[in-house]
This record gives sequence, C-alpha cells and structure tokens, in this order.
Amino acid sequence: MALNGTYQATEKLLLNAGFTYNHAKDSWDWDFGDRPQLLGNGAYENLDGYNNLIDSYSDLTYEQYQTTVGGTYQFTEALYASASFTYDVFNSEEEYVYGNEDGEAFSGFVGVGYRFY
Amino acid sequence: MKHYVAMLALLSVLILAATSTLAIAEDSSAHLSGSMEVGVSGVDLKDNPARVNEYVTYRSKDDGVNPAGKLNLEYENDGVLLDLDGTYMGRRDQNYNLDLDYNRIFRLDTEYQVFEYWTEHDNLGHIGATMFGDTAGEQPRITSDGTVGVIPGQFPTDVDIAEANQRYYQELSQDYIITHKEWENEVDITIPSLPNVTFHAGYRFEEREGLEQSRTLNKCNQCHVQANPKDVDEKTKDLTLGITGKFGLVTIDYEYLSRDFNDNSDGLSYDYFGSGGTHGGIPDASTLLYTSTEPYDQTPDSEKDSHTVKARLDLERSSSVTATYVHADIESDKDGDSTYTLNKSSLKSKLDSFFMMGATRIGGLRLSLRGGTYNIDGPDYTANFPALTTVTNLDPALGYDTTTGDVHYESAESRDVTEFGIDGVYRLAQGTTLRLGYEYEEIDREEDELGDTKTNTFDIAVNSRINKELSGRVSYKYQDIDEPLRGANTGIFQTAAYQDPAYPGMAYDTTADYVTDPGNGPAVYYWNSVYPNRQLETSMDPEKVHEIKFSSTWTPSYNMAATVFGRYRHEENDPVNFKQDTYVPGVSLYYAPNEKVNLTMAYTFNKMKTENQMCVGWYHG
Repeated sequence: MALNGTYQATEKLLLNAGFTYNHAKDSWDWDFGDRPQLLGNGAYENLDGYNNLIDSYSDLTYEQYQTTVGGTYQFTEALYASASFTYDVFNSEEEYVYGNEDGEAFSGFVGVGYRFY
Repeated sequence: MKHYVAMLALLSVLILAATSTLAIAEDSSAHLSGSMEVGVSGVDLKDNPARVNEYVTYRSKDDGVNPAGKLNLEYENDGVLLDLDGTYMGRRDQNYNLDLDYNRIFRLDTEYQVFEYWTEHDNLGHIGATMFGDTAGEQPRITSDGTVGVIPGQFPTDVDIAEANQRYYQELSQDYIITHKEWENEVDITIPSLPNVTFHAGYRFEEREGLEQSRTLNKCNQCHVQANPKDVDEKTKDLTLGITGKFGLVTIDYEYLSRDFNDNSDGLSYDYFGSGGTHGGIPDASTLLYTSTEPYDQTPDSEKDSHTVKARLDLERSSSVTATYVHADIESDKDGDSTYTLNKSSLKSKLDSFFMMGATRIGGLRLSLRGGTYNIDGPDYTANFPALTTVTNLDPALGYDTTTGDVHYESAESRDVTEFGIDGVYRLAQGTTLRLGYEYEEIDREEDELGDTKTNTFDIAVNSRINKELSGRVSYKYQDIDEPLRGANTGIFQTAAYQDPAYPGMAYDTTADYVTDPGNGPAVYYWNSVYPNRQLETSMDPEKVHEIKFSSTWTPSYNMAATVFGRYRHEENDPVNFKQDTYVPGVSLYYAPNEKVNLTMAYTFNKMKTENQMCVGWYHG
C-alpha cells in the first residue's frame, strides 16, 4: 500500500510526503505424520519432530514500512533549497533462513540548487 | 578518497561544460535551461542493514555522509540539442545520462550508473538435517575464506565441533554486497548525402564486483551442505554495429553483436570429505568420486556473436509485413577441472531463428498474423569423472560407464521451436473493441526424455470507453499445454507394484523390497534403489491455465480518478497433482482537493496458493 501527497504550503514552499507499507507472508502446510509407515520399518518416522520443522521453517513473514518527507523552498525564482528524509523499517517475524533481518535505516539529502532558464 | 577525487573531477568537467555552454547561450539563437544542486547525503543504519537497505541508498553498511550533487542541463542551438542529467549521492549511488543530437547527423546516448545491493545470505540452519550444534555429527560444515582448504582432518577422527561452529559464525558475519556498474553508449550517424541510411554503433560495459555466498554439497549431500564467501569480479562487454536503410516502402535493419564475458573471481575450493564407514561389505570411501580439496562454483568465460537482419514492407491501408532472421554463436571456455574433464576444450551453442509478421485492416477489423521457427543447437559432450574402483553394479542405463568414468551429456536447451499466432481486433461500437487471439507453440527437444511441448493459447478481450467518465478492459486467456517440461525420472517413487494399502494413490517400499528389486545387489544404496525407482514425474509447469484480468477507471472530474483492477490465474497439472491459484486485486486513487494539494493512493493484494507433490529425501549417516 502506498500513499503520497504534495502540498504547496506557501508560494515559496512545496512539501511532499509518502508512506509505503508491505506485508508478506509465506506458509507451507504438510504434516509428515500423515505417512508414518513410509518405509515400513519405522526408521524414518517422525522422531523428535525434526521432520515437521520443514513446515515451521517455511512460515516466513516480514513487514516493511517506508516514510518519506521532503520539501523545496524557493528563495528566489532561481535559487532554492531542497531536503528529503526517509525512514525505513524492516521487521521479519522469523529467523529460520536468513537469521535476524530486522533493521532500520534513516537516509537523507539536503542541498542548495540554482535553476536557469 | 579516489572516488571523491573522481567525483570532483567529473563535477568540474560538468560545471566547465555548463559555464562554457552558458557563454554560448548568450548567442540569441541559443537556449539553455537546467539546474545545479550541491549538498550532502547521509545514512544512519540500525541492526541488520541487509534487507532494510537491500538496494543500497547512499551507503551500504556504514553510517556517514557523502558529498552529493545533481545536475540537469538542456541546451539547444541551431540544430544542436544537448540533454545532460547527473546524480551523485555517494560512490555507491550514481547515475549520469547524456543525449546529444547534432542536426540529426550525429546522435549520442550515453548512460553510466553505479548501484549496490545485498545478496542472499542463507544461514543453513533451516536445513533440518544439518543441525547446528549436532554433537554426534559434524554439521554444519561451513568455512570462511580464511579457513577454506585448511580443515585439519576428516570425519570422524579429527573433527572438532567447536572449531566447526567457530567457522560457522565466521561465515555468518560476512557482508554479501555486490557493486554493479554499467556504462551504455549508442551512436547513430546519418550522412546528409545519404539520408535514407543510418549507421549505428554501441558499446556496453557491465561490471559486478563484491562478495556473495556460495553454497555447495559434500559426499552424503543432504546433510553436508556448505557455504563459503566468494569474491565476485565479472565483466561483460558488448559491441554492436549496425545499419538501417529505408528504400521506398522497404526498411532493412542489420545489427552485429559481439559479447565477451570474463570472470576474474578468485576460484573457490573445498575439502570433500571421505567416509570411514562400510555398508553391505563395501567401504563408503570407494563409492565417492573424490575425497580431496577441489574447486567449485566457477563460471567459465564465454563469447557470443550474433547477426540480426530485419526487413519491413509498408503497404497501403495500414498494412505491413515484417521478417526477422537471427543467427548467434555462443562459446563457453570449459574443459573441466580436477574433478572431471571434458572431451572438448569449449562448449558451443548455435541459434538460428526466422520469424514473419503481417498486419492489415479489413473494414472494421485489424488483423495480424505471425509465425516462425528457431533452432537451438546446444553442446553435446562427454564428461569423464574418476572411475569407481570397487562398485561395479551401477546400471549402465543410468549413463555412467564404470570402466571409463565417461558420462555422455546432451544439452537440455537443444530444440526446434515452431510458433504461429493470429490476432484480430474488431470495433464493435464507438469506443469499444473486441480482441480475439490464438497462438500455437511447439517445442521439439533434442533430449527425448524431456519430451516435446505443444501449447495452444486462446484469448479474448473487450476494451471500452463507456462514457467520458468510465472506461474499462476485461480479458480472458486459456492455455492448453501438452506435455509441459517435467523432471523426467526425478519424481516420486510410484509404481503399481508398491501401492500403499493404507494411502491409495501413494506408494511405499521397504529395504527388503529394494534388495529384491531387479538389478539390485545385496547392498542397498540410493543410486541402485531410490533413484532408479523414481518413476512419477513432477513439475511446476501447468497443463491448463485460465487467466482473467480486468481494470476500470472512473474519472468523475478533472481532479479525481479511481482505478480498480484485478487478476485471477489458475494453473493445473492433474497427472502430477499440481495446482496453483493467484489472486491480485488492487485499487489506485488520485485526488486534488484544491490547487495546492495532490494526493495519490495505491493498494495491491497478492495471494498465491500452490499444491504439489514433491520428493523429500530421508537420510541418515
């Protein structure tokens, strides 16, 4: 889901903001206990529950949030300043495959510019 | 530091160019516009940056700031057009583009970009068989670049679990980041005295540098899975030369492409373990191809040359006929390594392709026909592996010569493909069209075991602008696929003789049954028991596909619009019990309540559900 907007606050100030949310979920359902007689002699039965860990390892879920705010201030028709800041969050619910992937990132840009026509 | 110097040098050139251009712009016929911006970019990262900063913004893993700048120039003067865009947000985040047009005689388009991305880092812990901390075994056997090749001993005598775990943590601490650089150039030259002919030239340079995780297998490979950091240093160079000529109603285009791929990465190697056990009277070690330090995961250098000829005939009534011929030769420098040898010093593939397309208008019907064929002649070679000295009861039908160690391979890519298609678009009413389409594809594979695939595709779509506020499109596609590619003889053990009485439709077998199976000796191994008995094919490729798509846009006023869209796809392959359903609905909105505010919103939901059979190997060591 993404929301974005711009707002001309004053004649010289243009603001922008955005928010993006992403939720992903995977699952795999198969109970290996369905076939306890697979090889007949019981050697490969669902001992210790390790077999069904394949199910658990496939229950992967993560969420991403990205929030951006920025703006441009026009000192004169040609001279301006711009700034943009982004805050990213990644949350993974499980650590089975890639470990703990949780993280946050702040990134930004501040600059002064000159336009010519 | 050298990157900052390079950036400052580049900015100096651009500013000099801009200044010079500004001086030129004082000429009344010249026009210059654009912008220059200087500033600072910065990043602050917390916890794991690999996913939150997967496609790197400014910096990949270290907090800090970079000098940054943006430049945009548009210059026009007496038939000369120059458009320059440049963005430097840090040495890992750069993009430059230059378009130059000199009186349409000389046109240049050049683009250079740099970006970084984190690559996959599997901790292998999810492979249940390689239980981390396994005190009875030696898993996980994971090394780092500092320890590879120096493992002191082999299972079971000299393995130190603590040492193995230390290597595991070393590998987990690696940062797998690739820096991607690409420089693309295209030049078109049209000589005024020869206005109907344009010469083309292009050059592309792509580089991948960094570190990525390389996984490999070892002896009883479902348990002995390993990972090592691999240095990546790959370069691809493309050179294109071409010519386009317009001669009345006929346009002819020719292009030659030469591509070189070079992998300068450091070679990886790993200690392939032996085994001290004896089963069925046969020492395990005698069934292994090698128990030594051997290379793995090396990409051979390759070259590709292709020739493409296109011809187009434009006729009256919006009719046209187009024909395209492509010939390509691909050569890969591969003759084996210490683990095997090939009977050739390089592997060669060849592609020949010819397609034609025609389009015309008959009353309210827009009709197009297309068809053609292509052939891929892939490499056909023999690989020689070390011969097994003790075991002699391998089935020769499996392709392994126990005397010579030779195995014959034919490329799965070798094939003849024929395609045919017809599309008709009919105007039903003002603003409403009906589209009907049919396409046939036949893939005749050189390797018989992989089968031949025939695909019939039917589709129908209606486009309509119902009124000034509402428009929409709805379409349906059906595909009937005969014999989609399957993993021949790689599926699930399943024969009528071993039907499981408790679970109809499924099979089971016992060790005793394996031993008495025809061709099996007194010893039971996966190669003489499990693999030959895998007779049920499996596939993720469907035999039938249904897909419905729709979208509708409502624009009640100039400052408001809403679009609703959706896609449903059903794929099935009954013989292998494969079924997949995909649902993708979504909505997007635009609203500008006044002149100062613009708002957009988009939402997409994506759900995919797959049902399939699979072969899960059960191992113990």
